[in-house]
Amino acid sequence: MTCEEARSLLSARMDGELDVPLRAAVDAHVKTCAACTQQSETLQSVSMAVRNGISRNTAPAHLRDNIRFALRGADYLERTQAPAQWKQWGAAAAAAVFIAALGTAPFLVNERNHRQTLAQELLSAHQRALVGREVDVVSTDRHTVKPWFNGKLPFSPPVADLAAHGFLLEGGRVDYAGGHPVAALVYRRRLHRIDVFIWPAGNSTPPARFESNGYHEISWKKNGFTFTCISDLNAAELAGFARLLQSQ
Amino acid sequence: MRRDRFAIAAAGCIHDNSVKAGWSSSARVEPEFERIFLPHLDAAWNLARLLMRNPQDAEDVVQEAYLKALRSFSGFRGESSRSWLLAIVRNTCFTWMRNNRERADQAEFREEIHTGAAATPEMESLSRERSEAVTRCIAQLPTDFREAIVLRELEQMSYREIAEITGVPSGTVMSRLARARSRLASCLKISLGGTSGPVTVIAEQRP
Repeated sequence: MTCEEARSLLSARMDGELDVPLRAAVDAHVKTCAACTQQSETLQSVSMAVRNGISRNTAPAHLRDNIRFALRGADYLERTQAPAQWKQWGAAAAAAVFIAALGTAPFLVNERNHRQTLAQELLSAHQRALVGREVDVVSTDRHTVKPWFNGKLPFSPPVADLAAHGFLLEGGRVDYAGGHPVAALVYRRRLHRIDVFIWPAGNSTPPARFESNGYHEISWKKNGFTFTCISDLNAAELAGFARLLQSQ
Repeated sequence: MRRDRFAIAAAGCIHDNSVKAGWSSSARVEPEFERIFLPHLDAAWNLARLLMRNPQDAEDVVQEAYLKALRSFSGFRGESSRSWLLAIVRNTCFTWMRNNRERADQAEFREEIHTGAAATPEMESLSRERSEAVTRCIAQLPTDFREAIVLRELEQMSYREIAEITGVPSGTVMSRLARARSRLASCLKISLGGTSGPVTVIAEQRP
């Protein structure tokens, strides 16, 4: 084996990645070659220096938290996504065939349009607030925000404190959508604002998911209220927020 | 966590979704995913922070990689979960670098982030200097070489594992490592203080 051949294999030899015959041949050469012995030692030193120099760091705690949060959100999106749309259409089509005979097909079409319109109205309310008045009551304390709605709304919306999860309550306001007043709670995460619209569950319900121009909207019903959260936050994080709110 | 089951209203698609989604743990893949892949977060983080120039970008990349991994989870067949995840992390890094080439080139190398945990104040300055020199020399390696070195020296992976993650033949891994080490040796100007003596690592001048 020539010096040149041996040299190209010294690094793999150090890593224990040569098969037995090749290893034996390189070993035999190195024993008789001072230059290759020296080179081999240099490689060892480099390897040691690297191992000592770039020790393994622990990932930042907030990164772990953010990832878990986003994973939960993504999982939520996954489970409320496409199949629902598909089924919804399938069910609507089947129902349409049946109900058309009764002459009420326009109702179904209207129903779908209403939902989309409501989602759009809520988004407009969110955007209006972004450029204008964000909150009528400024407070990070839910015990201040909740009573503030008394007398201004015919219902008392639930107000959750999510500060421990990185969502700061900034306040609330009364807004209008779907022809009726809705409570709007404002939360902030980093630079993103989230509006949570709450009103008594009734006929007007937006679609479970809605997306427009980089804004995401997620809606659900719980305890007699309809909730819609809207933000330009990425979809997974907003869904994480929705899950968090649902678990309160 | 309370998991209320909502009544299914006739035409309420919201209700429909939530109920179909189940709110039951059996329908959720993410706890299983977390159990398998969150233990590899440190490995993912170390690979990303050494490939990327900026720690914030490294964080974004790792989070994105985890979301990608969750989406591809159905394709995971129980092979080495660490290799599977690290392959996604490095691909996400490379995609990010391609999409942000200008920004990446302009980015200043943030030494304090890349230097290993060994760089603590109480450490003697000699070993801190060594650590900084190593960090700087690794940062100067081409990305292909850098990832091979990180996977080999930090994760102690075999050539076959590195080949799988980086999508090249084992022979390429071998030559990348050999060339990376030879560059590191000249960058570090390693000299041996006798065969059994202490290794002296002299840092090159700062670029």
